[in-house]
Amino acid sequence: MKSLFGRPVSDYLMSAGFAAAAVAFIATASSYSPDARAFPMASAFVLLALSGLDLAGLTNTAAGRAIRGLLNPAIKADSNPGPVSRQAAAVLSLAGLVAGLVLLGIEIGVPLYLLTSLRFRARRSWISSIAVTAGVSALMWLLFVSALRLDLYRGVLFAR
Amino acid sequence: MLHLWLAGFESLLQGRELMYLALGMLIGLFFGAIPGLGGGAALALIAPLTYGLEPFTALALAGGVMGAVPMGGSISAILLNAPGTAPSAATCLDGYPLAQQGKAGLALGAAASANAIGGIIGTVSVLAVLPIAKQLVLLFGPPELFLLAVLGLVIVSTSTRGKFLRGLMTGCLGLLISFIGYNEITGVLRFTGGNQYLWDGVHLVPALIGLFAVAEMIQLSIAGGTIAKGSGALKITSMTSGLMATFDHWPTVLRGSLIGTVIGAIPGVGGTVASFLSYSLTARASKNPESFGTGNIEGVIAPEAAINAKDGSCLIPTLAFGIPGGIEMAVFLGLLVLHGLQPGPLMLIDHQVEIYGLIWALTGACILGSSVGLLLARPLARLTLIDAQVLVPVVTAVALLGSWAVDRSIENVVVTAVFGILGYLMIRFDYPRLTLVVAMVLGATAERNFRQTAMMDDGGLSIYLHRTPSLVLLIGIAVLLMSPLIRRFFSRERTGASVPEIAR
Repeated sequence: MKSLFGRPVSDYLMSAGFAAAAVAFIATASSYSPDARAFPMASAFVLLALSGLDLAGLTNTAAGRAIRGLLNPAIKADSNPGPVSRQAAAVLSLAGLVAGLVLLGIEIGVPLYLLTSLRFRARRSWISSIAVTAGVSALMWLLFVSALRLDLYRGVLFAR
Repeated sequence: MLHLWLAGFESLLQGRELMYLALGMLIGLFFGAIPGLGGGAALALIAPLTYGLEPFTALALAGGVMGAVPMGGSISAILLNAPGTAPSAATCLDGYPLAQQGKAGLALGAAASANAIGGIIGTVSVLAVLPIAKQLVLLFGPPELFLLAVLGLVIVSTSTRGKFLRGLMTGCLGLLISFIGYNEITGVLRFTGGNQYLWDGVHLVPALIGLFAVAEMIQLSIAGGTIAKGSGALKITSMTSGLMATFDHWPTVLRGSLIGTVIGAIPGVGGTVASFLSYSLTARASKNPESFGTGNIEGVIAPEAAINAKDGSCLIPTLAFGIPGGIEMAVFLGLLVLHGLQPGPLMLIDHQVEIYGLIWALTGACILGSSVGLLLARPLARLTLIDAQVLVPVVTAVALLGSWAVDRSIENVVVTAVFGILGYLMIRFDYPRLTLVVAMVLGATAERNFRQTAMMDDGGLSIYLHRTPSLVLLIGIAVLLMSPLIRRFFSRERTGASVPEIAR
C-alpha cells in the first residue's frame, strides 16, 4: 500500500471525498444569484477548510499530530475493513438489488434477490432458500398490498 | 395542565392506537435485541410504513418502538454479551457474568423492573418540565432559532467524543445536502442537476434508512458469521427474584433514573453516557466496588434505570428545539417531519395533546415491553444467532421496500442505497453519522431563519448582539467551539498528555 506523509493513501480518501464534495457544491453554487448561493457557499467553504484540517491531521507530521490531538484525538484508522472480495460483494449485491427493483419491479426483483443471495452467498440449500424467499415475499405482499393497499412498482421493463 | 395530560392519555386509549402501540413494542423488542440495528434502524424502517397513518397513530407506533428497544437491548446484553443497543453495553458488564453463573433470569428480571421504574420516573420528570420549557421557547424569534440550529450542530459535534472536527465536517455535509432542491425564499432550484425528483430535496426518510439500516447491513455482511458469537448462556431461571431485587436496591434505581433524566435532556449526549455514568457512580457509591464486573445485580439495575429514564427527557430538546438527543431521536425527528409535525418551539404549543400522548405511549411501551420482553427473552436471543448472510438480504430487501413505500417513488430506493454506502464508509473511516442527520434536519430551518433575521436587521448582523437570548446562545456556541482547546489545556496541565496515535 502506497503511503503519504507516513500514512497509507487509503486513510486520506474519505476526507478527500469531503473536500471534493465541497468543491463541487462551490462550483455549482457560483452560478446562482447572490441570495441563493450565500448560505450554501459559506457552508461549502467551511467544509473545505475543515476537510483540509482533517487531511492535515491525518499526516504523520508534527503539525498533523498537533491538529489530531486537539480536534480529533479519538479517531480510528480504517483498521479492519475485511477482505476486498467481501466488501465488493456487499456493495455489488446492494447495487444488484437496486437494479433489480428498478428494472424488474418489486414483485420479481425482491424474490429474485432473496433467492440468489440465500442460495449463492449464504450457500443455503435450494429448499431452505425457496422457503425463506417465499415466506418473506408473502409477508411483504401481505403488508404492502393487502394491508397498506399499495400498487407495487412494476419496473422499467414491465411498466404498463 | 391536568386536562392535557388526560387528553393525551385518552387519545392513546383508542383501539387502533393501542394496537399500533403494541405492534411498535414488539418491533422495538425485536430490533433492540439485534445488535447493530437498535432504535434508529427500527424507526427508520417503520417510518415509511406510517405514511398513511394519522399522525397520532404514527406517534403511538414510534413511542412503542422507542419504549421497548432498551428491554430488547438488555436481553442480548445479558444473555449473549452482545449489547443490542449501545447504552446496553453497560448492562453487559455485570449482566453477562450473572448469566454465566446461571443467574440470567435474575439479571433479566432486574433489568425489566429497573427499565419500567426508570421509564416512569423519566415520564414524571418530563411532565413536570414541559410547561416550563413551553414558556422558555416563546422568547425565541428567527435570530435565536438560527443560532439554536447552529448550537445544536456544535453540541452534537462536541459530543462525538474525540471527533469534534469530523463531527463538524459531517455537519457541513448534511447542511449542503439539505440545500438540494427548491429554495422557498429565493425561488431558485439548487443542486438538482436537472433531476426532477430532487426538486423536493433529498427525501429524509429514505436517506435515514440508508444511513442506518442499510449501512449496518453492509457492515454485517462484510464481517460475516453471526451477530452473537456463542449460545452457551441461554438458560433462564429465577426471574421473580430479579424483579424484586430492583425494589431491594431502590436508591440505585432512583440514582440511575435521575442521571438518565438529566443526561437525556442534554442534546447530543445520549443514552450511552447515561448508562455508563450511572453504572460507575453506583460502583463508586457501593460498599463492595470490587464486586462490580463479576456479577453484581446493582450493576444491571443502575444502567437499565438510566437508559429508560433518558428516553422521556430526550424528548424535551428534540421536540422543543429540534435538537435530537441521539441517533434514535434524530430518526424520530424525520418521522415527525414526515407527518407534518415540525419540531421546534411552536410544536410545544400547537401539538400538546400529541406530545402528552407520545409520552404516555413511551411509558406504556416501556412497562409492557419489559413484561413481554421477559416472555420473549429466549426466542429473541436466538435471533442473534442467525447467520448474517441470511439476515442481511432479508433486512436489506425490507429496508429498500420501506424506502420505496414512503411516497411510492423508485428514486427513493436509489437514495437509500447511496446513503447506505455513504453510511458504511462513514462507519469504516470513523466519521460520525449523527451530525450529518441533525444537519439534514436543521439545514432548511437554519437558512430560513438566517434570512428572516437578515431582513429584520436590513441585511445587518448586529441584531444577534442586541437580543439577550441570542447573545446567550452566541456565547454558548463560542464556548463550545473553544471547548477542545480548553479541555486540551486542562488535560495538559494535569497529565502532560501526549498526542494520541491513530488507533488501528
